[in-house]
Amino acid sequence: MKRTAFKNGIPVLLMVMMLCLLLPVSSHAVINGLTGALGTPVFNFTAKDGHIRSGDGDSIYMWGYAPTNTGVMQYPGPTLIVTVGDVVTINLTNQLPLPVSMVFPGHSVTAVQVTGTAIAGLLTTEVPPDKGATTVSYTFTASQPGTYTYYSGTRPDLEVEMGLVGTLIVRPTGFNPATVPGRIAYNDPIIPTTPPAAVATAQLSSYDREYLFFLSDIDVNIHKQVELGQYYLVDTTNRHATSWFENGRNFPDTMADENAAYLPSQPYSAMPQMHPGERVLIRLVGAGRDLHPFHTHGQNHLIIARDGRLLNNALSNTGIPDLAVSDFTTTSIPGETVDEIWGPWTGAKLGWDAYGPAAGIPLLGIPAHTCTPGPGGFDITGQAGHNMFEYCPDHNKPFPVSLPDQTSLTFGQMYGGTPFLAVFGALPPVNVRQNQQGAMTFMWHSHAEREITTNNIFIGGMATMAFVLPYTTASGVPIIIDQFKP
Amino acid sequence: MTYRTFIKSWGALLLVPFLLTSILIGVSSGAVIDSWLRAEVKVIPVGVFGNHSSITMWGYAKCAAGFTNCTTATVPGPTLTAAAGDTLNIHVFNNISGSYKEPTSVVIPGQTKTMAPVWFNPATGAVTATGSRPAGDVTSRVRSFDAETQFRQTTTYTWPSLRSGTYLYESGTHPAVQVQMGLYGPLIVGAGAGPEATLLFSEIDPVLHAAVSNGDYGPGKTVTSPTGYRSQYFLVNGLPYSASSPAVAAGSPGQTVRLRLLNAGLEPKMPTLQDPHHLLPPTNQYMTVIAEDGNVLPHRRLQYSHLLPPGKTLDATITTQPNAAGGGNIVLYDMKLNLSNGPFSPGGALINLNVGPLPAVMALPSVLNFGAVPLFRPTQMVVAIKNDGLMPLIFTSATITGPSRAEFRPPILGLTTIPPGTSSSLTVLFRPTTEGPKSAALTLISNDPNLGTVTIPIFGNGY
Amino acid sequence: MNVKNRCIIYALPFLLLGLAAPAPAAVFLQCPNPLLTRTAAPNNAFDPINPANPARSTDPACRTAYAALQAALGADAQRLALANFKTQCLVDIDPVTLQPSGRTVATAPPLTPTGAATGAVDPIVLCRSLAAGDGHVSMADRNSGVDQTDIGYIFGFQDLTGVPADFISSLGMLADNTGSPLAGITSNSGANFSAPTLFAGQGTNLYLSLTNVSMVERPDLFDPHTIHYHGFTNAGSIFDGEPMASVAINMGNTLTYYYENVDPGTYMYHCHVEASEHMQMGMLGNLYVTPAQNGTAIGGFTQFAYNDCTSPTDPMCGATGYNIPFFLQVTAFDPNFHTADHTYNPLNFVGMTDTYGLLNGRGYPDTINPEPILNIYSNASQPIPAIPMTLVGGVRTPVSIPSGQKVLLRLSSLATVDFYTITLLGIPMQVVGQGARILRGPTPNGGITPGLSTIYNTGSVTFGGGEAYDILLNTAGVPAGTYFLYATNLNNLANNTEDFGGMMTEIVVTP
Repeated sequence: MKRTAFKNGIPVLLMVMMLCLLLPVSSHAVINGLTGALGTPVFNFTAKDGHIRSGDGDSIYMWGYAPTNTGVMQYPGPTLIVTVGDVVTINLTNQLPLPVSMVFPGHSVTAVQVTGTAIAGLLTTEVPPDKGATTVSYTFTASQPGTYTYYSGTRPDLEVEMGLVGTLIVRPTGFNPATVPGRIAYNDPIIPTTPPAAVATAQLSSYDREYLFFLSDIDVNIHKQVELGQYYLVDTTNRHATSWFENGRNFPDTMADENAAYLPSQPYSAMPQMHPGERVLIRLVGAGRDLHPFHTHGQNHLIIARDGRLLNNALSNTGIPDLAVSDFTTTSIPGETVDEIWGPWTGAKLGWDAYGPAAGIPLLGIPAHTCTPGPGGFDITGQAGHNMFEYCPDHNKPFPVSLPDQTSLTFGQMYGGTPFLAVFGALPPVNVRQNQQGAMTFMWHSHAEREITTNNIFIGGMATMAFVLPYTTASGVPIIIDQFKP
Repeated sequence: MTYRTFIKSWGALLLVPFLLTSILIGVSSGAVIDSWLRAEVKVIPVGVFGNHSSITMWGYAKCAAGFTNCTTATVPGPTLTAAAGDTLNIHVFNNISGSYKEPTSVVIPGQTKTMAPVWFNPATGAVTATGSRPAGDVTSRVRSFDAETQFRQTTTYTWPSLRSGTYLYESGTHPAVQVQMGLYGPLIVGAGAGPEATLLFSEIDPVLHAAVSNGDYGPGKTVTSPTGYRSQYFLVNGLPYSASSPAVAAGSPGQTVRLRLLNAGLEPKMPTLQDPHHLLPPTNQYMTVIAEDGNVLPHRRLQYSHLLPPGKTLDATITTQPNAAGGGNIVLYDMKLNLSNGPFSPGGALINLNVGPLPAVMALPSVLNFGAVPLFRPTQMVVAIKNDGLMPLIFTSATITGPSRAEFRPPILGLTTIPPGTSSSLTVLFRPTTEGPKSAALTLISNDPNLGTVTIPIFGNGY
Repeated sequence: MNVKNRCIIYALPFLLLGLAAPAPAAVFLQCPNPLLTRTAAPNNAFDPINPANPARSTDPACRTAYAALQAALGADAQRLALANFKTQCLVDIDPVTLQPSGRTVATAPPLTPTGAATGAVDPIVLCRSLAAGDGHVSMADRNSGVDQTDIGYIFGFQDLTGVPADFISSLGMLADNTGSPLAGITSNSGANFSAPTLFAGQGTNLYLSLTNVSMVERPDLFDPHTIHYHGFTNAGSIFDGEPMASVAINMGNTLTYYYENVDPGTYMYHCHVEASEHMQMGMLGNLYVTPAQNGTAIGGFTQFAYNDCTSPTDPMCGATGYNIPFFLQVTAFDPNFHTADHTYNPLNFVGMTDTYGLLNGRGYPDTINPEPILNIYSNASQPIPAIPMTLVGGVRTPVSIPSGQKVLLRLSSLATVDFYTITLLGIPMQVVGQGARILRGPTPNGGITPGLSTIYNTGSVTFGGGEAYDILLNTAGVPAGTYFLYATNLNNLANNTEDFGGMMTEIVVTP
């Protein structure tokens, strides 16, 4: 095809450059969102309009939930992060021309008119279009940990399309992002795990890092029609999706920072980063109208829960997810949530040493490395070093093929320059270097390839790149993953 | 909507001896169920779906034996019910009139039957093979998965031993057109005693229907294939949602309700629960999915929504709170967002599940077996009746049917109204007048909207 | 700088030689062959210093260094070195996939063009060679007068296993069927659809060479291509084929991928370059790995989808056993997209609408045809039937299922737009695997006891692109007859505007 240049090439490059430069001291990674007071968190939302930036540089009119009465609407709606047992209240007012509301599938919600004149709707109590005069409070007990969604229960065929949809995360008892045993998605029992794992015993819902994948699709023509004030004429049965999103962003904006300044209404990044051996929790939310096959390159993922319930033989949310299934592609369905553990990626059993020759290649700056087998054959000694979690049986196995000369190849902008982790190899002149730490890079995307486009522009849409970063650079400088910290 | 439409023909059991074998090895009563379905045109008038033009559909009319006393055709077709191990005969009369005529047939995915497919040459319309494809023939195309019923003809399709569960019956001939036109309905094998709600999803592409109805479908016509299919109306039990669409009875507060979800449409659905009136427990706003396509799942699934792909059936349960005084509606809606009738919302694939207060009949035992009884000695057995619901249970009749009905005496309905939570009993008398095995059935009709007819097989042996 | 140093300096950035390292040193070999025209002769006139293949360099210092290195290598590397010879890839045809087996011989074979190699078969090393280019396929509505020229235009892969490098380009390119210069190799029809089936046993090492032969009918394009082994566990980016994270092969060049097949299961492969276009255009194929347990008698079976028997007391022993293998890949074509691509028009991704539902690249009734489907140039463009097949005396023969036997259906989708629901009317499905994993839950105690079976019975499965199921079709109690596998999205039972076609095939059960 005729290539279409990235309109966002500069921000992406900047972002990756920042990744290279920043050396934060903490890596207590959590998902970006709103947390309220423990016990009785209260959130004040306003439904209002605004615009988002699409990956093709367009500006799309949206309706969405603003996290405060004065804030801008955002897409997706604010991710609510509460703790199991919390009695959660959302006070909603409305600046839109149609009634709006909120439903929380899986939760028993009490909807109460606080001020003004609420509407008794079909799915829940609704806020009329009265420029904020009416407030309805939605109160529920977060009775079980897990990943959930919320959205407007008023004309959802139009209002979910327009953007009134978000994520609810309920933390389990004992959750603590600062410690390994505290990074858990559920209160499933501690069991002995099979290597590689950071600790010998952990929960199947234990993770090192968590990432939100909120998948949605929109038809920009409906948004244009609504922007012209013709929301009452929209026939959503004629709808045909044109653009696809991860966390409200199209590729490559998916890879921009959390709260990136140039995306004021799309605060949520969707660029996973992790070290070898780490378990990555994917909180997958179906938030559009279509099904999407969500494919993770690099490794299978273990599906442990759906709709906030562990996959357990006894239907227990405190049992072992003994029915968990592994897959390389998960069907994401509108309204459904899936919790899955990706990886850990280690490069094991490739049949070649993913860290290069044991003696190194000095001319390339590839250092010598050794491998001390621990549990499962993985080198977990020292907890540092560029080959941490190396699979020792593959140690020093030669790279199996000769690559053709450089003029024969097209190098990806996120190719590390060599086949090896932690090694940034020499690339021919004019090849970009967006991966100077020598990460293994994997696309996580919709496998309905039509959907990795943004309103007819390839590449875009429902795609991002995941980076497996070594613990240190080849020269031993620690690589600290700069994930969002509140 | 769970209206029961079958006719249990006890006589047929004696007339078809080869079927007896399979019945005897069946786990259940082994009855022969005969269903008489007339396939014909049904027109949805302007406005019923918010439609600007009338929509021509094809539906099944329920008929009495020999195609007498037919109702008007319905979409979906009548709910067929049977017990596991029963033999099911569906007699189809092809009455599809109009400028576009086709043979038709009935298939039941998930039930076993010897099939007699029909292949043809679409260019000539000539049938090229039946039963099996000739060796070396790589161009014929299947037109019908089973034997065809021509216009104005009748064919009987027999499933010798039904598996229990929830199934779709549908046209097996040119299914891309005939299923879309409306030739489908639910088959429920082995319904339990508890409350159930059958929810059949489908959708309509009015353009395809107009082409078929106007004779504009086929080679060289306006529409030549189903490829351009685009659904516009989204139905549950044959209707899109509107303020006036009826709720489906879903038991009484405190009961476990079995939802039988079926998708006869061509697109996936995502049935999702919403409980605005707090009828479900706060800690369990979920359905428990227990079976798929008639297969009991080895591991249940707890979800507030579940994908329902085309052609799929799911059995799921929900349990309401006993203290949900007065009952109310739980909403089941399609999170694929097929929730409007054109620009008008709410609409589409959304339906209210009405939870009581209702009566709920429980009758035990489920089979009366008198065993061996000396000739002319009256022997009695008792059926315990309990009202598990929250409204009075009122019986309107108790009758004995079947070949040996004369030798059984129906119960006297001493108490025709049973208050909520209380029990009563009925007595059935057996007085054999000839030697040999005797069979009949006790039929109780009550105001229970979920189980209005309770049928209890009766067996005995005179000596 | 002397010549030898130049060689090393050039070589290192290309990750070729770990000369500084003691044996076993890093040696990087190419299978079946590297650089098209450049390697037709040992002495490459175009490339005096050929770091990609030092053994063939005109630079004597490079050759000397290479030979010295080889001499220092252990047996394992020697084995890898042997794989460098193109004709070690046998072209014997596998009876299930009807594709070249790719098995190699362990000892140096005579180099004959037809691949009639001698020597013991190496149980470990597999060599396959694919060309990536363009071609034409024929949809099942061709007899109704539809012009297939534009709608049947594809990008795709062609199997060239055993073809000497000198001929890869000419045979791989789309061309009229002017006849092959090589005995036993008849294809120069351009790309096939579905792509050649890749298959391997667990524990084998697959060298998969991809030569970009360019798109003859799109001379304006200069697209590179890749192979994405979809679902490969612990992938290294270099062999993952996603072009942003990896390398892609330019026109006229060859890149060899290497995969150690550790995990059995049903996978798939495709080109990942400009995926929305290249995949809609047809660069899609079946790929599966059979388990090490095969050949062991368990529960009356000797073939299995997975290693289901972790110990003699494992309740899942034999649960994935089967009698008859069968693989189907769901794909679909948008004729407008293919037409636009063939006629140099802008591509419409938003409007991409698949109207030809396909199984193994064919619409019904071509699905049931045991012979290759011929394109408008009478070339065998779609060689893979969508029915169980075998070879009897070298003749393609459909397999009927004796009632009571079990069929393993490896079902994958690489559709680029829609989800499909597949049923088999009259034959129950038992799902035993998905995502190249057996359906078994995690062990609760670190492996002391095996996980729970999560195998389930159903009437249909639903999937989008990039998803795969392993399904046992149990014909016990199924009356003899013909049964229909089809998409319950019934609007797909058409070949575009031609009714009675599309995503359907037939399974014959015999008494």
